[in-house]
Amino acid sequence: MNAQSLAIGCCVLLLAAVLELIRRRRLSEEYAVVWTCTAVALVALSLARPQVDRVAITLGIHYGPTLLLLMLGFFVAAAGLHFSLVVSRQRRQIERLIEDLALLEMRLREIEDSMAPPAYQARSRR
Amino acid sequence: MKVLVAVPAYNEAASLPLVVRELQQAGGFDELLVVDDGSTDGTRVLLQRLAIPHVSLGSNIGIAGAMRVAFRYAAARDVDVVVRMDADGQHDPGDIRALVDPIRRGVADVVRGSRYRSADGYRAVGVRRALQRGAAWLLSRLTGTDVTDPTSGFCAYGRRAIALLTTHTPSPYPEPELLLILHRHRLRTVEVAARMRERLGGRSSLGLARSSLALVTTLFSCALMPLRPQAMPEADR
Repeated sequence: MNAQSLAIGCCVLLLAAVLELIRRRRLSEEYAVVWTCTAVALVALSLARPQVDRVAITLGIHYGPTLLLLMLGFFVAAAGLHFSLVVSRQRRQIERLIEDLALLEMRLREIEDSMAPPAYQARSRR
Repeated sequence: MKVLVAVPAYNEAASLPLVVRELQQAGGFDELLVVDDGSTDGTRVLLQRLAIPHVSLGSNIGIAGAMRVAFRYAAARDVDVVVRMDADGQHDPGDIRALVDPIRRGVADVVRGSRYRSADGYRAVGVRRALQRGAAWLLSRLTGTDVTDPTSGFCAYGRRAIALLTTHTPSPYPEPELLLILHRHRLRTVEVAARMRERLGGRSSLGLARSSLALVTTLFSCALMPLRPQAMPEADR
C-alpha cells in the first residue's frame, strides 16, 4: 500500500463517518455541509496527485503532499476559531438563560407567597 | 433613595448567616438580595430555611454574572443604589452608609471601598500586595483617578452604573476591568475608606492557580478594552 492509497482510504473513511453522523442526525445541518465538502475535497485532492504536484511547484513547494498538509493546517485553525466563536456565543446564551430562569423562579416564588392564604385560614381549612 | 444590598455567594454557607445577621443589625439599606451562584454546599437550602430574600442560579456562572442578576433585579424594581457586599464577612456592614453617601449627594456614580484608605483592618501581604500595587498604579494612570485598592468588591453603584452593568459583561474576574468600563463610559468613580476583615468562615474559591489565571485574564481584558465597542450609546449617558 502506498501513501496515496492510504490517504484516499482515510479520506473515504472520513466521508463515510460524516455521512453516517448526518444520517443519525448527530451532526446539525450547519456543520454537515462544511464537513461533507471537506471530506469530498480531501478525497478529490488525494485522487488528483499530479494536479496537486503542479500547483505545489507553482507555489514553490517541491513536495506535493506538503501543500495538502498546509491546506489542512489552515482548515483546522479556521475550524478551531469557528468553534471557539460558537462556544463563546453559547456560553453567553447559557448564562443569560440561567439568569432569566433564576429571576423568573424568584418572581414565581413571590407570586405564590402573595397568593397563599394567611396561616390562620390554612389551619381552619384542615 | 432606595438602597439594595446585593450579596453574591458561592459556597458560603458557613459565613452567610453571620453576614446577614450583621447586615440586619447595621441597617442603612432598604432591601437585601443574596445571589446564590450555583452553590453546592447547601447555601440554597439555608437561604430558604432562614427566609433570606435570594435568587438561586442553576449553575455557577461567576461573580460578574451573579452581579448582573442583582443589577437586573435592581433595575426592574426601581432601585437607586446597589451595594455589593461579599458573603465571606470581609466587608463591614457599618461602612455601607459611607459608600452610599457620595451617590446620595450626587457627586459620584460609583463608590469603591478601599482597605488601604482605612487606618486598620486586614491587608494583603507579599506577592498579592505587590500585584495590587502594580495594578493600582496602572489603573490610576489609565483612569486619571487615585486608585488604591484595585480588587475591592465593596462598592456602591448609582442608577447610571446599574443601567450600564445590567447589559454589559466584564470578564469573569471583574473588579479591575470594571474600573476601566466605568471610566470609558464617563461615570464618576470615587474611593472611600472601608475596613476589610478576615473571613468569618469557609474558604476562598480563589487558590494560587485560579488567582494567577484571574490576573492573566484580567490584564488581557483590560488591554482589549479600548478595542471593544461601547456598551451604552452616547445618547444614554
